[in-house]
Amino acid sequence: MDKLADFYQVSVVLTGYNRSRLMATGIGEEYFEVLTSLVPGKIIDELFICSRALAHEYKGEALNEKFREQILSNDRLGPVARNILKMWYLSLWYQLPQSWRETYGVPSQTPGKYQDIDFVISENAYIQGLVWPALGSHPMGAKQPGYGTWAFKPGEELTRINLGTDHPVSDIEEGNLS
Amino acid sequence: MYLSADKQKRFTPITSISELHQQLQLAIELEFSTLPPYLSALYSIKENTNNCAYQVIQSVVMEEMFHLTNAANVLIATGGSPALNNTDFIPSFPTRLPDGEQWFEVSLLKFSPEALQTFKYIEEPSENVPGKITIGDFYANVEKGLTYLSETLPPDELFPANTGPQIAHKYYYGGGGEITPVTDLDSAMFAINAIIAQGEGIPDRCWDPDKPFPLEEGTGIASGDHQLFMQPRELAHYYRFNELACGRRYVCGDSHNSGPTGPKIPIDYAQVYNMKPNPNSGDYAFAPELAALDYEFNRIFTLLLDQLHNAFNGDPELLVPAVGTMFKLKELAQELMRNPIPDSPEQYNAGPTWQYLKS
Repeated sequence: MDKLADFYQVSVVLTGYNRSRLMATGIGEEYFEVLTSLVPGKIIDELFICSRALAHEYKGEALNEKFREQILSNDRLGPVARNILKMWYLSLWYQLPQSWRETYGVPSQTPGKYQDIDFVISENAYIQGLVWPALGSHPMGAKQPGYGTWAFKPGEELTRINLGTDHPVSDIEEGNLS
Repeated sequence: MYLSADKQKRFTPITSISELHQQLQLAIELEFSTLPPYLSALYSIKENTNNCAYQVIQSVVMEEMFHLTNAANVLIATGGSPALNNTDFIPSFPTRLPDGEQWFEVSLLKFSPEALQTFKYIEEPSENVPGKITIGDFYANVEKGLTYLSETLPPDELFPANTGPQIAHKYYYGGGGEITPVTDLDSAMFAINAIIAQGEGIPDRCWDPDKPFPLEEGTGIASGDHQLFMQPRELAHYYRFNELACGRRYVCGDSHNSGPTGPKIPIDYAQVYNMKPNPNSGDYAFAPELAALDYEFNRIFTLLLDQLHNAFNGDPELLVPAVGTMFKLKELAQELMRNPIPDSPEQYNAGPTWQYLKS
């Protein structure tokens, strides 16, 4: 299994968005590049293996719990997983916590391109942050919502005409596929 | 626009108001049917690449929506009701255009030379294809019918009082042209004329394809916006697309037959998502996540057609949220295109299927 696929697998569990939704942002590979530039390969591998194993054994709420217990609460893997989550939602890389850096950080994974400091990942990443759809909002100044739509409550423009209840809403639409 | 005797024979003359309404409804369907092909190509262009091509296609899309609105306003002004919210409104691709142009087929394609060739067919100037009918010819027949009816019917029968509200210019922004209220023959002809001019240009009757374009009036290459709306001079759609197809700008001294010989336009067909031609829901039969994305697209598309339908039938204010819906549609189309179709031998990416979901 290639590592990018592993990255999407762990990202699906972390973000709650399915793989196609994540690929739809068009910037997953960029996040992957940032991650692999700044975090040692062995720790990334460990995270991916652990995430795959948990997803294989557990589903739904149980997976959620095990993920919190074994990954997010883990000294080594937790900060990395949280940084992946923040990349997807906020399009930012946050400097890893000092204690983590002192214990696991390896200087200059790829000198020059990325440094382990706080930074906006790219112009396009800002536009594609998951925080916007999660809020029912849009990235200000970067994705037009249409003139005057700012006067509507989030989601309101979609409810002004009732589509009726004849449309099936499947589980997959809720992002439950992993 | 002038319609030659030969071309006139290919159309049924409009002799009653109900026939006029039928043709104007067809005009709305015709204008709308150009949007999925144009938007498929537009949204397949990768972010921040092919800027010139992106702007050109977008400018044409904006004007197609203007045409749709003009046709709908004429229909409303003559006592008709545009119908946009049904499954027959939108063709299934590949398709022939609904105005009876049988000589080419329109597919949903990624931005590519093939797509541009189709776009040129859609916008083909009438003079360029003497034996075939074009969108301009179709509208020339509508104009002829309007003139005929204005001569044979009392004015308040052709343009009755107390018709529903038309779409006003304030709802249309960011594109060429200006929406003007339709109240009589002159304003109706003006609205239809603007459609023809933007698409094909307004050539005079002595059109000569070898005559160099001095970029002056009546040469057939300009869109007419500068004459009709006092706006900056622009090329008609056909010539805008031809610039992209040839990868060069028109300059003074070029003729229809010479094509553009000016500066090169940077175009990179590799910076395009490899959308499967004419995507259909069967393509996602084994990809439930993509099927869900496409369903979401169609749900928003259905909402848009409902909003437009109601906007043209008594509630023009609905165009404000409808524009928001259009932007949502764009996002979803791009989201589909960024996704490879799993196990596709051609390594195609997904694309929207443009279906109205209610029956």
